[in-house]
Amino acid sequence: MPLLLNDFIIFFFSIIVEAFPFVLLGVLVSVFVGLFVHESWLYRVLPKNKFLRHILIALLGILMPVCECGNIPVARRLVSKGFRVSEAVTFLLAAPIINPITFISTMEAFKTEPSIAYIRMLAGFLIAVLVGILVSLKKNEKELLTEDFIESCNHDHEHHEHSKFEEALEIFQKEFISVMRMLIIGAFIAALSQTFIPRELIISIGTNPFLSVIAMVILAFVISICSNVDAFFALSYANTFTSGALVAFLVFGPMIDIKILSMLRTTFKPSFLLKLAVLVTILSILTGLLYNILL
Amino acid sequence: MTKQINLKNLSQFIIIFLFGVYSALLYFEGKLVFYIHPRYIWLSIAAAIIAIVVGLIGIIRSLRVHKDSHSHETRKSWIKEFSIQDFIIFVIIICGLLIQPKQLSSATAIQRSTDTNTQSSTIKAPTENQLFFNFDYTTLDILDWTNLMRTNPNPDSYKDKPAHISGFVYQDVRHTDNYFFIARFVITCCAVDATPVKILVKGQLPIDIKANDWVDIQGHFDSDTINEEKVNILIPEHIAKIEQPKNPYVY
Repeated sequence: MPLLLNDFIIFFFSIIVEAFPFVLLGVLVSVFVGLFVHESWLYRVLPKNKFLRHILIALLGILMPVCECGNIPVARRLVSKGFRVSEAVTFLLAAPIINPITFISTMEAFKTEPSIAYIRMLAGFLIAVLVGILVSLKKNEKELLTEDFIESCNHDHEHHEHSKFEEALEIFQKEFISVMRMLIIGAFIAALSQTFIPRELIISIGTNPFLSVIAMVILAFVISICSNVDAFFALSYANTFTSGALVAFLVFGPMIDIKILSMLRTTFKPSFLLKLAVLVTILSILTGLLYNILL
Repeated sequence: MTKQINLKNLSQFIIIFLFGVYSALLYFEGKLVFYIHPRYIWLSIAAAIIAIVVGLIGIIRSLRVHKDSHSHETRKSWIKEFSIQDFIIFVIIICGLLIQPKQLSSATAIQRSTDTNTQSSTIKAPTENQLFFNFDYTTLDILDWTNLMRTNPNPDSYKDKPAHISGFVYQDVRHTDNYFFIARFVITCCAVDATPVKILVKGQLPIDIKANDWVDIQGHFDSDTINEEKVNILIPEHIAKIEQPKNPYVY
């Protein structure tokens, strides 16, 4: 077998094998939410004030430390239960970063520069809340969702005559297949880019404080690595790149990468995903640049 | 009255079941480590068990026969519901089950050759006392050596130090014909983030050894000037071809 094909196959299946348990975990949480979380509970527990709601939702990841692959089925279920789209976006952007596992692993990797961990948490939180608030300015947020997803939400509301067990099975089947379809597409594209885009090409533009931030954001997009261990990967570039570039990598990667964008296609329209990706990119780059200038 | 099977549900639960079987088989064949860091193995096993159980339950329930009076329309509708996307996923899983993974190749090592600054929290570096009492440098693996050299890049520090390392070999066109690399991959999460750690070895590859073969090298360190830069090189005293280890990565 040609070497590059061999490596492509390993990359492709490694993404799937690695993400599989996290997707499953997210699906199980989604089943739990689907069966036991009622729409009225959300309205009772969450504050009415939009800003406070987004702040609280951004902290939900502390309770659900699944990686970004697992958050997507959870977010889909929360939307079907009454979360607004903007709230789901805040959750999706924040949860992979604002959770104890990501914090601990980042602190462990950057023991000698703990400010990287603190700024990662702070920037992740602020970007998630800000982007969510911006999305909430749209009059009809449901226009951001795909028709298939809206239809599946309506179907959920119609089928309450099933037993809990049947409902659980149905949610599991739907969420797992829906997300895994997109994971496979994302894994394919990520593996292709990993095999055929030389790392050197990305790193060669990283020799100055500004371009290094851009280079690491591109790397984060391409590499599609999970947020609970990406800090150790970023550490390997600590001598080559500025700390701001590493912060940009650690903030951007859990929010937007090839794999995540592909999986989000199950729920959001492509035009919205493009705008979301651009906005998060700009904010992540700004975070990295500010870190380089101020710290 | 006719009987129908919900083909869409059946095919999707078969897929869920096969994902579980795939992970389980990788574990029992010792091949999970080819794809993911060992810290995730227990998660993969748990996920495999859940997927197998849920898949089986779903398959059995989908095979339950339903009686329906509209036989003609029903036959058309469940064929239409069978998704080509699900068929593609099915084919991909079968390919995964059939493909025998090999290690990442020298093509990736060359492509990622600039990723040289790998750190490990478990460097087996000699303490000051150990240096005084003759530390056994042959216990250091390739990752330990590359981490040491990154921390202290002065080649004179390693002159004549003995080394005993294993890895796969390859040649890089950026170096002259009289050198080759011995390397291994470090992974953090899964194979997709694999970063090569490598040491330059002086000499030609023995005639029975080709690129991507695994070798065990005993030798000592020295230095050479390459492209006006003084670099560490390993002078081999003994090169033996070995089998690829069950786990080709270092962590």
